[in-house]
Amino acid sequence: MENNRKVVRIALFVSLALAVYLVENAVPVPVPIPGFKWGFSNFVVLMSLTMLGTRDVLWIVIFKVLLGNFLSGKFLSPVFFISCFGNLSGVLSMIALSKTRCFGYIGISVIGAFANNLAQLAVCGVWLLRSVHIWYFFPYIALMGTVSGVLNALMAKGGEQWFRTYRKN
Amino acid sequence: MRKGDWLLIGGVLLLSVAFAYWIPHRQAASTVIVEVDGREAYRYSIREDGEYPIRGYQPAVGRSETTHILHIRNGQVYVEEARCRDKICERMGKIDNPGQLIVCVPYKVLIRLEGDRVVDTGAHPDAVTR
Amino acid sequence: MSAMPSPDPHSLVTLQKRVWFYALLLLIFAVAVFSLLLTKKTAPYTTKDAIQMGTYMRICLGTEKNPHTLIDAMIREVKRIENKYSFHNKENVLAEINWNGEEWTYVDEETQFILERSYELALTTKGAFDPVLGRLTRLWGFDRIDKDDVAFRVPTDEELATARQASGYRNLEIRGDTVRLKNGALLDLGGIVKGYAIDRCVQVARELDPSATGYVDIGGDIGIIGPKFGGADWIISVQPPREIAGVRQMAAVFLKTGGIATSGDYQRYFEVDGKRYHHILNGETGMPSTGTISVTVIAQNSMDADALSTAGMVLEADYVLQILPRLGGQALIIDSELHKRATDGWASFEKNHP
Repeated sequence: MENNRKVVRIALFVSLALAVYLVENAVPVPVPIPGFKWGFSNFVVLMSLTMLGTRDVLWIVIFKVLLGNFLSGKFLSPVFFISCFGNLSGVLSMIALSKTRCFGYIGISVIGAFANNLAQLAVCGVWLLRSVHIWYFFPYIALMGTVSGVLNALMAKGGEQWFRTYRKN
Repeated sequence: MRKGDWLLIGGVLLLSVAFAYWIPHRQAASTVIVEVDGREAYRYSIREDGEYPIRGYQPAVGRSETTHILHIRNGQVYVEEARCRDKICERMGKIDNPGQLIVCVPYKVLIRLEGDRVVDTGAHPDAVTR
Repeated sequence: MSAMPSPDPHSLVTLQKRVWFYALLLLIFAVAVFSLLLTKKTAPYTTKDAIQMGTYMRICLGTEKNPHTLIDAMIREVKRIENKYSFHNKENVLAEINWNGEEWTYVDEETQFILERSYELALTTKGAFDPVLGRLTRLWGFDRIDKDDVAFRVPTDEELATARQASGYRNLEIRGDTVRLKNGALLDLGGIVKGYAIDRCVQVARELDPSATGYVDIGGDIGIIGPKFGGADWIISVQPPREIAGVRQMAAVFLKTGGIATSGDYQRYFEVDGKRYHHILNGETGMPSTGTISVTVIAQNSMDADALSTAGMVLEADYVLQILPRLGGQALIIDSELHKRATDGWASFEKNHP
């Protein structure tokens, strides 16, 4: 019984993350960076971090990246690798930070967004484009990551509360 | 919010400000530099308007084809006729300041501007004759 | 943070899930590593550094074939040429000609080609480039530069006079495939053989892969195999002959083909009483050349560039600027005040060629 509930939750979270992942392309980004996205689907990951186990969170992220790239037709393209490494390092740093229990939603979310963006730039600069000049984007990306991190944290908080009340009824 | 959160946000912001100082700013752009696969491949003066074909990175060396057209007009640089699917580099718009970039990930093309100061001390040559 | 529900480790379902999870993780890792290796392999240019001809050598090669096969062949070619034409080697073709002196020596086609071209260049530069200065080079000690017991010295006037008698390209006689030297003169192809080796490297690369691109750099003399990425210029900077604060290069040159070479008084020299004696000797005086401290020449091939840059050091700057374009070269001259002067055609090489 417990297992079924968990599977349902994972499926729910994955589909929610996917929906956000695909829809957020329509949200305009105020920085001149190619392929940069707000990363709002991260709030789903953040939520699952408190409601599910570590392993389930990783599952959600893996499904999100694979399915998201499949659905947008970017599987195995350079963009796929960028988002793959970005999401993995983002979720790993969030898991690590949540284990320390020194940070709240906002801290975890910000560092997740930051690590995500940092890994994306690193893949881009070191591996794909092989140019140090790609780091010119760093300040933009760090700022945007902080903003979207805080927004994600707020959304995750709201989402979690909604789930709590939903469960009670 | 916990204390750690504030510290973290402060740290990230501080880091981005520190990085922003490292990026060249308050310089007039003078040279357009096109890097392909991390090496400087083309270099143009920003003062001369023109349209230049760019050969991006394609694994078959020697049989490279034009992948982008680089436009320089009125001190602004932009890319058109990109052959890749997503055309992100076209959507990056016009750049006119050192520290701004146009990037095409599929063809490993990075277009950047350099100011006068940097150009005087020299390019990034492939080789040196001595 | 609420406590996380820990999965039951004894449940078979969990175990199966765990296996799947690790399998997927492994797959992602494998894909990442694989594509990383793939991008490494298809990197457009392979660079190889080596020590050859008593100096450093760098090959930068883009090819669809195995680059290491080509690079090995090129390095073998350089080694062969060095052995064959080195002034130190006592058992090569050069030593044979020098030993035979006035006796006619039969030479192979390659040697005949180099000697004929050398003679031609000596003639057109009025002896500013001279392949028959072996006596003078030996007198100054510049032939022993690579050895540990470097014995430079400034020769006396009498010594110089005697050595000058036994020097000069007019003492070289070429008749078909036979060669001889008069008046005890000695052949020293040091001013041209490096350029020839570069040209041969370029040829070897093109023979093995006609679509190869890249460049060959031996001791700062550079020959282009083919344009960068198949169409763009190679950017070559000209090193300042003296250290100048804040200046990293005298010029940046854009080349798609041909060769570029620099001769300067800073390459091989010794100092006595604060006076610099460098290795480019003026055949007329027997002394190191004066006035110009660095000449960079762009030419059709590296052999010409190498010889013409040497000649440019010896000749009067005005004369060089006049005559070089007629010999198929463009030159950048730097005088002892570090002023730059260049032939009219030089400026076109300081621009990109789309």
